[in-house]
Amino acid sequence: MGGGQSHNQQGPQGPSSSHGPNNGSVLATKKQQHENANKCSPAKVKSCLRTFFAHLFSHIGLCILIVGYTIAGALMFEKLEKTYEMKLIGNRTANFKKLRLHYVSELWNITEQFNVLYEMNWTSAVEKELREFESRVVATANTAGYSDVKDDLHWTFSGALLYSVSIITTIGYGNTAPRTAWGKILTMFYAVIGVPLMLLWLSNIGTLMANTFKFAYSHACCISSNPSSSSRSVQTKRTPSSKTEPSSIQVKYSVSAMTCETQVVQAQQNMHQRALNRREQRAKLRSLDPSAKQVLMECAEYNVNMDQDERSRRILHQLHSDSGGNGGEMLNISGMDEESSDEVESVIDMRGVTRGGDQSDLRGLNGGRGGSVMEISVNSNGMEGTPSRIPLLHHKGGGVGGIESGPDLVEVDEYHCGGGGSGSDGSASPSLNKYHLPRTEQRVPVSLVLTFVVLYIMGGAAVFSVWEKWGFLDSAYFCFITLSTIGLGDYVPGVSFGSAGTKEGQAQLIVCCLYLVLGLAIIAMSFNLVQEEVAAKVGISIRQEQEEGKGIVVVGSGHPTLVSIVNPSDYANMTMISLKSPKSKAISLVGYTLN
Amino acid sequence: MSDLEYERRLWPRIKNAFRVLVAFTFSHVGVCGLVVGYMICGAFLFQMIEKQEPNTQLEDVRKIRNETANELLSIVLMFNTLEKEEFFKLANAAIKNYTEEIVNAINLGYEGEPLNNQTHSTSVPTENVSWSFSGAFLYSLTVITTIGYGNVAPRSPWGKIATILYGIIGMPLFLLYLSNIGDILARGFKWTFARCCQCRWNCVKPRRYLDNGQLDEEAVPDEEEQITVPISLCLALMVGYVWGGGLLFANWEKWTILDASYFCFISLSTIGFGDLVPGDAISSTPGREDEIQLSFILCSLYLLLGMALIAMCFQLMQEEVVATVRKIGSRLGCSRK
Repeated sequence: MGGGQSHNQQGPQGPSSSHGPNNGSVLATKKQQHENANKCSPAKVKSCLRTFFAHLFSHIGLCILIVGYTIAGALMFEKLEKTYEMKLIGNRTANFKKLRLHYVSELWNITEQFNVLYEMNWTSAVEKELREFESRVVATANTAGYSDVKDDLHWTFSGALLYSVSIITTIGYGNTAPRTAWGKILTMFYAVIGVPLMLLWLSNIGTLMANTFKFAYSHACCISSNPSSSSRSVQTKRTPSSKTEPSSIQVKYSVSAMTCETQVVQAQQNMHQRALNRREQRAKLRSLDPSAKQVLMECAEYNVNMDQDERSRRILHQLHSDSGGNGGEMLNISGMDEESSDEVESVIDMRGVTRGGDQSDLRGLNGGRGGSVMEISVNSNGMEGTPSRIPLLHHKGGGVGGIESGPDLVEVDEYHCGGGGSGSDGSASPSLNKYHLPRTEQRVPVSLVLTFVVLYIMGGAAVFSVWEKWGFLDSAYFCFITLSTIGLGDYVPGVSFGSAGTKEGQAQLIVCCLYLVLGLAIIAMSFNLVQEEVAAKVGISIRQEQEEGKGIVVVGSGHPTLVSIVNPSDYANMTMISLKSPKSKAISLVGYTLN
Repeated sequence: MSDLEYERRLWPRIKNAFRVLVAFTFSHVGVCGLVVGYMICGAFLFQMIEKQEPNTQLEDVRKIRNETANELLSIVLMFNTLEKEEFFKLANAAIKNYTEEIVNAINLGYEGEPLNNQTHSTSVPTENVSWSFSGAFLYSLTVITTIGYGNVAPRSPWGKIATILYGIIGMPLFLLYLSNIGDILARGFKWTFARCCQCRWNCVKPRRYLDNGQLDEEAVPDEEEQITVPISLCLALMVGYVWGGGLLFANWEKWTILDASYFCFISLSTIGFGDLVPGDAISSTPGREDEIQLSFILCSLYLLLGMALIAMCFQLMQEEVVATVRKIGSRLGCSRK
C-alpha cells in the first residue's frame, strides 16, 4: 500500500491556505501561537546553547575524561606495584640461582661419584635430579603467581596502562595483576568508578558512531526515498494535513482543531503548566490514518455489537460521520471535547510498551505540528536491567537533519483490552500491509554491521599475527576474546617472551590498548545499529507466526505502520484495545489483539 | 462443529501452545534452566576437546629433559680432565635453558609430573583437574559471563574455535538470563520492601494529624509502583554479598580476607584476572582433587547467584535514579517550551 509514502507528500498547505471565512480566525490563531512561541526566544536561545554545550561536553569531555582516568590509573598502579615487583624479581632470581647452584653441585657430585663413566647410570641419576628440579620450578611458579619466571618487568608504564584499560573495560587479562594489598584495594575502587564511566562513554560513542554510520550509509547508497525522508520532517512540521486535496470537511475539522487550540491557548494563562501540557496533548489527539481508522472502526463496531458500549458507540458515530465526507480518510478526534478524547483513550487501551522510545517531552507539539497525526510519546522502561554489559543505549528522537520532531516510533509488545467474547462479523480487513516506518532514519542492514565487525576482528588478527608471531587463528582468537571482554589472558600482545622490556614491546602494548578501546566502541555502535532491526524482526516474525492470533497496528508519530491486520471474525476471543493515557505522558496507540 | 472448523481451531491452538512454550523457555524459570543446561553442554564439550593435551605436553617435557641430560653428558665428555668451574659454568647455562623451557611449558599449561612415577610409561600421572568436569564447567561459566579467568585456557585449535562459537551464542543467552532474573528478583524485592514500608507506615500512621485536627488520610504511601528501593540499600546488599563471599572463600581456600574479597569483587564485576582462582592453593598437593572440584562448583554457584543479585540491584538502582531525575526535572524544567 503506497499510502504510506503518499501521506507525506507535500499536500496543499493545510488550513492556512484554505478557504472561507474561517481562514482569518485560523490564521490569527496560528499567528498568536507563533508569537507565543517567539516570546520564548531568549529562553530558546539559552536552551539551544545549553544543548549544544551538553553535546560538546558529553562527547569530547567524556573522551578526555576516560583518557585522563586511564593514564592516572596507569601512573598510580605503576608506582604502587613496581617496587614490589622488582623486589619480587630480585628474590626470585636469587632463589633460582640458589636452586640452580644446588642442582649443579648435585650433578657434579654424581659425576665425581662415577670414576668410570657408565652412561646409563649417570644419565638416570641426572634425570632424577632434573625432575626434582623441574617440580621445584613448577611449585615456585604456582605459588609465586607469575607463571613466567623470567626477569621481564610487568609493571612498566605501558604495562600499567594496559592493566588500567583492562580493568575499566572489565576485560581483565590477568597477566599483570596487583600483588600488594594496597594495589588490590585500589583496583577495586578504581573499577567501581571506572567501569560505569567506561560504559557511559561507550554508549555515547556508540550512539555517535551509529548516527554517523547511518548517515554515511543513507547517503552512500543514494536510495530514492532519501530526498523525501530528508524533507519529510520539514513537511510534517508544516502541514497539518497529509491529504492530497483539501475538502471542506477537512477544513472544518482542522478548524475545530484550531478552535480547540485556541481554547487551550486561552486556558494557558490559568492553568498550571503541566496540566496544560497534558491538555494540549489530548487536544492534539487527532487524525488517524485510514488503516488505523479502519481498525478503530472495526473494533468499535465489535464492541458496540457485543455489549452496547456507549463510548464505542460514540466513537463509531464519529467515525461514520467522517466517512461520508471525504472518503473516510481523516478523523479529527480533536473535534471532540475533552471527555470524548478521554473516551477514545479509554476505548483503545495499551499496556506494555516496551521499546522504541524514550521519554520524550513532546517538543514537537508546538504550534507548527498542526496536529495532523497522533502524537506518540512513550513512557518507556525500555532499558533492561542488565548490569554493566550492554551499553545503555536509547533512542534519540532526532530526525534527519537534526530536526527534533519529537518522539519516535513505538512498537507495542502486547496489550490487552476490555471486551471479549465471540467474534463479530466484522468486515474483511485489508490484507497484510507492511510498510516501513518513514520516520526512522535509514535502517542499516544487520548483515552490513556484522560484516563490519568481523572485518575489524580479522584486520586486528592479521596485524597481531604479524607482530606477535602468533598464528592467524590464535590472533583471531585473541581479538575475539578481547573484544568480547572475556579476556582470558593467555595471549597478550607485547609481553611475549623477549619483547616485554623493549621499546617495541611497549609500543605493542599501547597499540593493543587503542585497538581494544576502538573495538569496543565499534561493538557498541553495532549494538546500537542492530538492536532496532533485531527487535523489529524478531517481533514481527513472532507476530507473523501468530498471525491468526494477533493483529497489531503500530501508529507512528507521522505515519502509522500497519504490521498486520487480520480478519477478526474468525476467532473466539476478540478484544479491543483502548487508548489510555497514563499519568506521566499520553500514549496514543491504536491496536487490537485477538487472544 | 464441522471438521473444517475444528481444524481451523485446532491449528491455532497448537500454535498457541508452541508460542506459550517458547515464551516460557525464554522467560524466567526456563531461561535459568537453559543457561545451566548450556553450561553443562559446554563443560562436556570442552572436556572432550581439551583433555588430551596433558599427554602431549608430558611427552614434550620429557623430550626436553632428555635433551638437557644429553647436553650435560656431552659437557662431561668434552673434557678429559673436568674442571669444577668449567663444569659449573656450562652446566649452569644448560640448566638455565632447561628452566626456561619448563617455564614455557608451564605457561602452556603444564602442571608437572609427580615424582613417584618412576616408569616412563605414557599413562597420565594424575587426573588433570583443570579439565575435569567441574573445571570445564567453571571454564564455560567464565566464557559466557565474560569473566574469563585464564588460568585454564584452551590450547588446541579446536578448543579455541569452540570457545569462540560457544561465546557468541552463550553471551547473549547469559544476558537474557540476567535480565530475566534481575527482573524477577527486583520485583520480589520491591514487593517485600513495600510490605515492610507499609508496616512501618501503619505503625506510624495514627500519629499524623492535619492542622484542623483530622486524621491525615493522605499520609499513606501511594501504590506500590511509587515505592522505589533506595540506592543505599542496593549498594549495601552488593557490598555485603562481596564481603560474605570473601569470608567464605577465605575460609575455604585459606586466603586472606582481603584476597578473598578482592577475588569476589574481580569475579563479580566480570573483570576476572585469574591470578586468584579457587583450587589454586590446593592443587599443588596431589590427592585432593575432590576438594578442588568442590571448590570449582562452589565458585560457579556463587558467581551465578552473585551476578543475578547484581542484575537485580542495578535494575532497582536504575529505577530509583530515573524516578529521582524525573522528580528533579519536573521541578526545574517546567517551563520547557
